[in-house]
Amino acid sequence: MFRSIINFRKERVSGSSWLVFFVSIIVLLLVAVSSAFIGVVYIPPIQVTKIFLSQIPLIGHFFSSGIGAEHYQEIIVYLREPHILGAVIIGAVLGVGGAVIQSIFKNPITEPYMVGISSGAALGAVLSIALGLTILGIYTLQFLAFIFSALIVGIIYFFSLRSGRVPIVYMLLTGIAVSVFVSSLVAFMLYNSPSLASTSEVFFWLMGSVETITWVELAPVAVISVASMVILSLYSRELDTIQLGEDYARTVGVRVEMLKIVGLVLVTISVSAVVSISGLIGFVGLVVPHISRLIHGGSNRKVIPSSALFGAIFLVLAYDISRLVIEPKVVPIGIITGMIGVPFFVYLLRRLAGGYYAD
Amino acid sequence: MRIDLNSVEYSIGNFRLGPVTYSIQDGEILGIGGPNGSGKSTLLRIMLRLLRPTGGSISIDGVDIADMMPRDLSRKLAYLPQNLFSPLNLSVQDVLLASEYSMDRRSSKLDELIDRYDLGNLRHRDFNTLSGGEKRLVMLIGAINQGSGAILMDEPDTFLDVDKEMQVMHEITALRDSGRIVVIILHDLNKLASLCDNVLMLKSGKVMAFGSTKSVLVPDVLEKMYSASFKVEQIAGMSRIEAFPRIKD
Repeated sequence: MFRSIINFRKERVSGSSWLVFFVSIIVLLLVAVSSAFIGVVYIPPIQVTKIFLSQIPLIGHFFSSGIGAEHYQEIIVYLREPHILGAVIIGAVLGVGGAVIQSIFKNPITEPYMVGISSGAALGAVLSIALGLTILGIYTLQFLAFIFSALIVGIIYFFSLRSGRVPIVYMLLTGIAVSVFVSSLVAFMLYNSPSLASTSEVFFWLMGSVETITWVELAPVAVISVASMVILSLYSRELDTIQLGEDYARTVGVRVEMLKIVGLVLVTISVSAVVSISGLIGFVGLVVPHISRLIHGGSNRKVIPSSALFGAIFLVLAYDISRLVIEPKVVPIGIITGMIGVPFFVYLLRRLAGGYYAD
Repeated sequence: MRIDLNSVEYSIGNFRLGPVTYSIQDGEILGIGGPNGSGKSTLLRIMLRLLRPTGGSISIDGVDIADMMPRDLSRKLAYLPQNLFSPLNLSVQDVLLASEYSMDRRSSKLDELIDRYDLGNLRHRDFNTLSGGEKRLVMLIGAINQGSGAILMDEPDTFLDVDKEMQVMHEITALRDSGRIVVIILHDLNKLASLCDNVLMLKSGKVMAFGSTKSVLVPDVLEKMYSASFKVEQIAGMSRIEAFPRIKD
């Protein structure tokens, strides 16, 4: 299959990208809708369909889910729908974040987590659980994960500053070093408190999960995410130019330092927001932009929107697998993305080693 | 347009460049020559504001480039770097679009330039898969298309086939004739002699000589710069420079 995709990319003709976008949107809709049919509680497909139709404005009242089916309605509307929509938004944000970070760092093996987002969020979450903080009620963990994630990225950025500029290699190395330091703090807290390490909350958070997402949590995250992705897509020309080297980008008029700040801030805000409700879901930000580039070529005008679509499809499928692999248990989704993502990525690299990424 | 280098100095570690004082006028090809490590590319990078001079200033039409917005500067100066690499696989078309970042797309002459250099079949190729010479041509097209008053080129002749090299040299002359400034780093002394109106020769960061090509590219100057002996002949009004190993007494 991949041979044909690679050939297609080489021979792409104008208009073919739009066809791929159209097909991707249809696939995402189908995957998202069909995902609602899967779950620990069996709900007859006809009931699922009725519940969906009953939610459509204006015509919804024609499709009552029927007497005695209210609990089905609750499962679909209050559990499965926010989980699936959560997976769509998280996948999209991680995909776009990966595309942007790879462009800013001019490096195909970077991802949003490498600038300290994951270690910072983990520190905030584990601190909140370890100290039993409840200053913001049930949202304390999410809030601390978000704040610590942004804080660690900020620290890494300021440590990397060299006379008003952030050399990207410094930032990458500082990011790795600070992340290791912060991860050590997290590990120390877990080691020091075995009861903490064994709580399922910490485990699910560090492995990533969409099972606990509610509409109330999802709404603000969705607004932040969509706004960030739209703004980032407006910078696709600048992000293309910076890929050719910061010096070159400066000579064609790009405000490089400003672009790096805008990109990093928006990626940090959106990825921290989704990580705060899902925990650490790995590999999406690394793999998905590469699949987009393989199909559409390297320009962010196409890579950013297609990374959003492919990230969403990838994560909803991973969520389906996480619910089907050991029924009736739900495996943390981060385990699935790693298990599918790594072999898939190794396969891609082998396919591409012949020239696509060869220096 | 006029570019003024006013006592420009730059130092990093033990290396010191300058002071360089020179004025470049409309319709001039200024060649920068000198041995490896003499500071040619550093001077070009200072002119492009990629490096901040440690002394002196550069102004374009009387305005210090330090005070110009990036977009405005890119409309004055275009850059043809020594090399360009696209780590995330931009196509040739994407690379050319990147060069148009600050310009009004309606004034783009990309299609015409692509036809002139016969590069239509490369348009959708991954830029990294091009040969060295093809990359140079694509970058040159991008720089010319930018429409800026001056183009600063770092060894544009590298990797080019003889016919493409002649085409590029002809293009550079045409740019000069249309009133644009070309500042060009070249290693080959004969190309400096045949292409440039004026030359500025650097050695270990110091300006050894500057002025008209005929007055600077003479054996006395060249022998101070390189460990070789030189013979300069005038053939059909053009200087032909030959280098010989220096015989020690």
